[in-house]
Amino acid sequence: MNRREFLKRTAAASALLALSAGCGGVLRTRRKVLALAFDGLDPGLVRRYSALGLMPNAKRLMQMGSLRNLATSNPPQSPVAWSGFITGGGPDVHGIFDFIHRNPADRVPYLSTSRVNPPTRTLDVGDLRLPLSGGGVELLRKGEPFWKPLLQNGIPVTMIKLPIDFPAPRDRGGRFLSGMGTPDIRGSQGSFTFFTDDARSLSDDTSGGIIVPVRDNGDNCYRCRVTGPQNSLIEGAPVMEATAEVWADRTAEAVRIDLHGRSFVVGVGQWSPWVRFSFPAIAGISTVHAIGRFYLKELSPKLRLYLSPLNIDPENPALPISGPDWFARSIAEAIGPYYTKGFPEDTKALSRGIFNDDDYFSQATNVFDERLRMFTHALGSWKDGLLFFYFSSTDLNQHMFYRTIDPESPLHSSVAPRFRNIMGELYAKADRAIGQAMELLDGNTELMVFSDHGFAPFNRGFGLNSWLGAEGYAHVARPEDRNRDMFACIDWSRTSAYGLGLNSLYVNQAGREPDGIITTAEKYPLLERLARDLESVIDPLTGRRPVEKAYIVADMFPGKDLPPFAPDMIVGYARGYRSSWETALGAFPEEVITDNTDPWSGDHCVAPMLCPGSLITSSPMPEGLALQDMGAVITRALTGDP
Amino acid sequence: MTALLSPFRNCPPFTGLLTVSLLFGVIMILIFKFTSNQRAIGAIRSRMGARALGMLLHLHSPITVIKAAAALMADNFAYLWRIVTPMLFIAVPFILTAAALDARYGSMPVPRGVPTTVTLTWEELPAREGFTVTGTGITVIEPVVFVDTLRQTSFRVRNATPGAMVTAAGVTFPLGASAGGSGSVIYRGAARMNPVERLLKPFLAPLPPDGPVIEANVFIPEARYRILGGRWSWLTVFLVYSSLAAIAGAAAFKVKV
Repeated sequence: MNRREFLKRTAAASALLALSAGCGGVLRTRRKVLALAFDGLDPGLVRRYSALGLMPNAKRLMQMGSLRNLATSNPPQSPVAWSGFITGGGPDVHGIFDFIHRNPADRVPYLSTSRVNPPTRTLDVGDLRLPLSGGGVELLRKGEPFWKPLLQNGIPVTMIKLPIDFPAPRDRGGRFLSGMGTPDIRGSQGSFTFFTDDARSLSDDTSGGIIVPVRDNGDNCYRCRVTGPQNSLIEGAPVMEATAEVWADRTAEAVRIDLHGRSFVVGVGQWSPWVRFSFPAIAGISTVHAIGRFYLKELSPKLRLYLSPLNIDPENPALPISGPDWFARSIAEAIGPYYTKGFPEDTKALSRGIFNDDDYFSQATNVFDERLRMFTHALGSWKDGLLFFYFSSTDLNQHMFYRTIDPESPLHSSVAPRFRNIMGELYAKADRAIGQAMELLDGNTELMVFSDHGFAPFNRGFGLNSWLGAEGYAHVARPEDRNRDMFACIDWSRTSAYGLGLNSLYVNQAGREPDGIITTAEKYPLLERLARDLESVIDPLTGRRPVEKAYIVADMFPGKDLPPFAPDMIVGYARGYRSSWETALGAFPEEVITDNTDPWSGDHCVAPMLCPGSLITSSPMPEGLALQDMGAVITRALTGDP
Repeated sequence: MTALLSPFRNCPPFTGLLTVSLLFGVIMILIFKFTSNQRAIGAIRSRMGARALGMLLHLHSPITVIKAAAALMADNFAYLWRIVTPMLFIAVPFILTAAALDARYGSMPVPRGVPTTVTLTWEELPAREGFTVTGTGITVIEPVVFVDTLRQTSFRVRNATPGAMVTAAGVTFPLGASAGGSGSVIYRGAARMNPVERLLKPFLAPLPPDGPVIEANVFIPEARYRILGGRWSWLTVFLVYSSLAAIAGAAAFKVKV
């Protein structure tokens, strides 16, 4: 069966299922599908490590069925790709074009996947602001998820750590635990706290976390104030805090942390167990619960104490991380507290130098091991229908350790010997989960292992905004503000295009952007010229083209009425390149192409054909499938259509 | 209590807790019956019913309603006086039973795998040199943290088996479950205690009054029981089921409450 016929039958099966649900019919099936998602699992590396014997289970699985490249989304960013998986459509259907969208009215960026809406009416009693109506967290992903017809037909669906699924759906009969996109308790995508009495570590940089100065008043005790969420029930929404007393014993090289009447001993180089934090919003009535883990990096001569981003407590969730509510709690009862935030690996701590490779690796190992315990529990309690389970570790660890396998990485030579084989170990660990899943294979169970995209090296950063400035598409009016975020240096009256996010380029369009100068008639010719110019850029250092292909969004979705937040162009970078860190937040540094010296050394924000995902299945699959076909493929496997 | 629970040794803790709660409810209602003046209580209750009915019948006459309400209040005081004696008889077994149940069903055993911290408060902080902590049936994790300001030492333990003992600087005390199976005491620490305190805090192991350690504390997670989709503390389970048993017992044994 070729791909076209396969997709036809798949679509027919999905349509039949939807029709059956629409007619009120209930389709009973004994077939089961285990969908195992490894974010960023690269088909090239799967082939390499299978050949080296590091992935024996994957090899066995592909011998039973097949290993295929799985076409990814454009741009190949996880929120876009997983939204495509969920809805079976592209960004024109689900409305997610990038990690970051911008409001065209003020060009202020925001997270594309969810947002918190304040209450529309409140009852004010003194300082209290009691919400009466409206408010809550809103999922910005549009389109109908593929599991709805399954549930309507009585087929059980369990989706664990599904990305772009926060707040968790409440679809009757389904069980959902939110994954990527779930914030920490402060509402960010992950904000660590680093307590230290070393003045040299202090900085104004707040990306990824905050550094809090502390001091010992002579009693060997550091009183560490932990910042919690804002208290929206009080006027002015003050930040809630909890104080941890950290008693230092420099002889034992360990501390005792006292918090809320509980104590924890942590030695240097050790992690605390999960620690519960309580932030009373209204004393005795409303309390916000969170969990975090301490890591004592150093005690002598200076204290360096890391506290992970505060995760939503799965036993007392302050936000809707699961549907139904009890689902998150039931997992915690089985395996203990667990990371609930979308990106559990703290890559920012490594990028900012709070962690070294060893620290990061120990944290990432905690995450992967914890997720494997959750996976074992999920397999044990799965009885019927669809079980989808997602691992983030393959993605974030490749981001941070791609330099270990790429000799061209500026950081390759500085990798410690013990990390030389870390990528192989990562894939081998993923393979053990595949082996665990394969133990459940029987005549009625289908196993599908897949990823949203592959991986590519990120050695050179392309300053899209800097290039726009150099080529006259943007006018830098205040050169002294070039390195400031959010276009601080730009004269909008002489700027025709700007970059924001990881692959997105926007035209400064009249009537859409404030001070926009490009008319509707001028827009398409400008984009054509930009595409030609971008694709012809040559990196003077390597002689290679940083941009593989520039896609005009209007051409990708002809005839579609796209939302105003949609980008006008998606820049598909070549392997080895990505948009520079500065471009993502709207800065215009002088140099256009620079070495990437951040440990974040692998990426996938390249042209989509350069980083397909993987699809390993227990039954043969045709070539040419895309991630957004997988919902229909799963539906077909569950309904048993031949 | 341990003998009472021995038939449930191999059952889930909830089974033992439920059985004790139901038995307690029935026994308490019988104690109430035999220690109270049932005839007087019956008469007071009849009078109170009559007063309430009188108020309903004479709503058009405020004076009569006020008089009946005052009489009803007097009857209430008389009723409370009548139940003081049986309540005193019930209070002692209630307190002792509640303490025993708290010790047995209030906590989880020391969790396996996850370290939990033990803190000892000393009369005088011992010297660091030669200070050792050992465990029998429990894994002790180094290092030991000395907090001079508070005269405390802290260390971690995990993987406790029933009957586990910890010895720190020569002081030995039990930690975790006293025995295997349902209904065994789970020690959350140790303390110097007089005999009354021992009865009221059976979840603490006794320490010698003249010993170097004042108290030992370990945080053990609170046990929760899943009923009707909720997770309830032992006390809620006990109060609900013993009350239900008491109501049923009152009907079965014709007790006037």
